[in-house]
Amino acid sequence: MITKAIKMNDGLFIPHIGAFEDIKKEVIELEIDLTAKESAKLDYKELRGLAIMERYYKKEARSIKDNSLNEKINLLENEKIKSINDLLNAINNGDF
Amino acid sequence: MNNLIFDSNVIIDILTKRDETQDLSSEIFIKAILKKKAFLSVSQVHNLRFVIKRNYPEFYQDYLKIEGKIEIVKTPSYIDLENVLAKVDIEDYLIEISAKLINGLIITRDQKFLELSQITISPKDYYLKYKNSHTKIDFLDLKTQYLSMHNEMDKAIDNIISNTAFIGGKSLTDFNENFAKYIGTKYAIGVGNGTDALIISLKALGLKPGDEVLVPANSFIATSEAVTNAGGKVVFVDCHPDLYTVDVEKIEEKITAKTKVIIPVHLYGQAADMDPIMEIAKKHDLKILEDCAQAHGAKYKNQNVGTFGDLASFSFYPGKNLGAYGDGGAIVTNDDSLFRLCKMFANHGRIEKYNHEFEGVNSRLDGLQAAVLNVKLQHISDWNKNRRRVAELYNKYLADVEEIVLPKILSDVVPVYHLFVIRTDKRNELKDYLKENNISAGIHYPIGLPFLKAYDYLESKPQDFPVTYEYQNKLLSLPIYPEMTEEMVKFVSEKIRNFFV
Repeated sequence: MITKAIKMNDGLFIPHIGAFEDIKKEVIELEIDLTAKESAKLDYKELRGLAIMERYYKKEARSIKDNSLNEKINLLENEKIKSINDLLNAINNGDF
Repeated sequence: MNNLIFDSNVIIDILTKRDETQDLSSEIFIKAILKKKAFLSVSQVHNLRFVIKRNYPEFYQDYLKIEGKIEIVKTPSYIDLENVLAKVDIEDYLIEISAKLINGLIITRDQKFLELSQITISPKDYYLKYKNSHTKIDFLDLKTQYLSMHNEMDKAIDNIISNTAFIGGKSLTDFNENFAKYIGTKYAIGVGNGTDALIISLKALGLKPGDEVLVPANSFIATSEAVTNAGGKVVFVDCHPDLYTVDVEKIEEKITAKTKVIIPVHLYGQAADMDPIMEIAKKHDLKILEDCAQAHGAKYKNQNVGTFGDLASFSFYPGKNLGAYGDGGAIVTNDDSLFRLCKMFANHGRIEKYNHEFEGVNSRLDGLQAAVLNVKLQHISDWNKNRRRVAELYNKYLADVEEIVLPKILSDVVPVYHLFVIRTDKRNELKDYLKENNISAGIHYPIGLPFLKAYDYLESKPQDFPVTYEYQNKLLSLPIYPEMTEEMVKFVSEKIRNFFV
């Protein structure tokens, strides 16, 4: 079986195994022999989690890269809240 | 700004990469949240929570706080699994059908999603579209009102359908009780519409053929046609030159031996001058039927309109301050016997099934409309307050435009501004100019009642109703609804100012 390992904040994510934690290296070598029967041992929640993560990365891969503009963006020019941090502060202070 | 649903990956990036760069997506996202135009499909919620909790636990609490400021839209069950997008990516398809419910756009960077859905747009393209868009101000905006309470409304409607409680039932008895309490009367009777409420009330007041009913010349035809349909004769009274409601100085000259009822109309959300009207009614032994179709919650001397007369009628036409999702109306009263008569007349002349004491009509407020109104009744005080806020802003921004006359309100009246009506000699030209600038204005009413073809038989002349005749070419209703922002009022006011410059 061929699989892939994806680098994440806290280690590597290996979709076909469902191992999320404790692999703290940047690169690993894998030799996996996973039968269909073994794969079926994963319970529903684990499989669902894998599917969600897989979709997230699939969408990331399909993402358009160039989203830049050659002009100053001024959508929030007249707003007090100008960033996500401002928004969270306003929510925390009960101002929004 | 459009209603926007943000694709899950866009939200995750905005939240987790916020310190790296303030990009376009973030600005659109924040703007949409501030303008209450940001939505999430319910189908996204578990995925977003899972990915953020799993990959970015340090941002999870932040996400939950922001999620709480985004409206969640349902995903309907009427899905087409043969749809191309559904076949490629079922989750994107579910987001798409949620977005269609709110007539919104989906902000995504996913090339496949952009390709397969007509209502997706990249952050860059949306920014360019938004930047170059022209502000459009509708005369009223029921969509925004619905979206501000869609969860409670959907639940109420689902409840009626799942219980098949279409006629009568708890939602109607609750509404009758709630509405009577809100207005401050002993009884409320839900009926089919506002015109029926007037006809049934006149019947209950014992109107006989030849009986005359005084009606303001400046009103909607429902007020006068109800008189004719109830078997009476319409007698028009001119409107007040400043207030536009009935001119109380002109009522007595229209009273004859045949006069039976006066119908004061609380026009545009302003109360008619009830003290003198009640005095005249008392002096001449006349009945009062208040037409409150445009004035749910308006007050005259600290008392709600609808509580002065023998009976009062209300309309719940969708555009009204309290509007159903179809037709609806109500009659309110404190009088036990009038209550009984109205209730019977509206229901084939019966109280009990098959025990018809006289011939009536079939005019019911159905269960679905009653459920809708029960939800809306909880918001009406806030909405009316916001209408007054919008009116104050218009008064502020238009105060020095000499060519227009702003609404004048009696000092003891708390209006509810169903309409915000200005007066100008250049009414038609101004209305056209506003239309060219994407602003919808209305005319209430372009032909005074006495001058309608329907009343040719009365042979009214302009000098009989000089104020109504003159004002039918001068009154203009500006957009007003609770959700209008100061920015929108300013925009309309600036255009009016530009027109006169």
